[in-house]
Amino acid sequence: MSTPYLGDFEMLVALAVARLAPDAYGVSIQREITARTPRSVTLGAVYATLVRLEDKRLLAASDSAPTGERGGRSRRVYTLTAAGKKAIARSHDAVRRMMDGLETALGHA
Amino acid sequence: MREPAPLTRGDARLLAAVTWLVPAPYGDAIAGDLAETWAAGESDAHASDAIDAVGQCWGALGARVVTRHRAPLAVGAVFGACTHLGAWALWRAILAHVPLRADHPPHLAWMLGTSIVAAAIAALGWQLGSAMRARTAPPESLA
Repeated sequence: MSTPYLGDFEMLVALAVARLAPDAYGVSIQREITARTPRSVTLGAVYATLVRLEDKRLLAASDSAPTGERGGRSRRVYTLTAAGKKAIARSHDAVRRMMDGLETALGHA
Repeated sequence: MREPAPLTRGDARLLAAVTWLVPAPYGDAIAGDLAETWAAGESDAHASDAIDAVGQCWGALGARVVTRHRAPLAVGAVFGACTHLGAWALWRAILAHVPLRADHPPHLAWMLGTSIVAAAIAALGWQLGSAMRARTAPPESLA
């Protein structure tokens, strides 16, 4: 199967997982995206995207031990797979190629 | 970030509802994440957060079933019924147990909208199924 391209929000979630490893889970991913981008992100949207990326085998998940802070519930922690890293690079490369030569036109000189 | 606060009994009951309503195996993790943000004081809109998480996850599950299993006839009815039932159960749990803040009322419009859309999807699923069965049935003279 060829490496898939990532959508806009999928890319943000995958990059957040890469930044937060090995402590990437729903809340920490939501905080990272909110802190680094002007986007308002809901937990439900983050989890829906995590499930989709896991289905595509771009992320791997494991459950941590339950903690009292979380009402006795465990964390579902995510890491990038080799295919996930390749998908990030491929998607970024595609955007970079499309941006080539447009710096002036788009006002990013 | 504010100091973490202990979860109230209402919070715990709402989290239990989320755990039950979100498709496995994510319910427990999502309920834990909501508990963590509430305890840290990052969100005052508890009921809205929970409803949103449940709705998003069921939406994602429905899309996954349609694309992976290619079952458009049955899926409309099943997904519509599940969404409706889930939203109704969560709504009941919120009304019964959670002290709601006056400036964050539950999204009644969201609930009504979801119910109407769910009913429409279910009806469409049944209509399509009936139409397909009628088209593929043998003529009466051959039956």
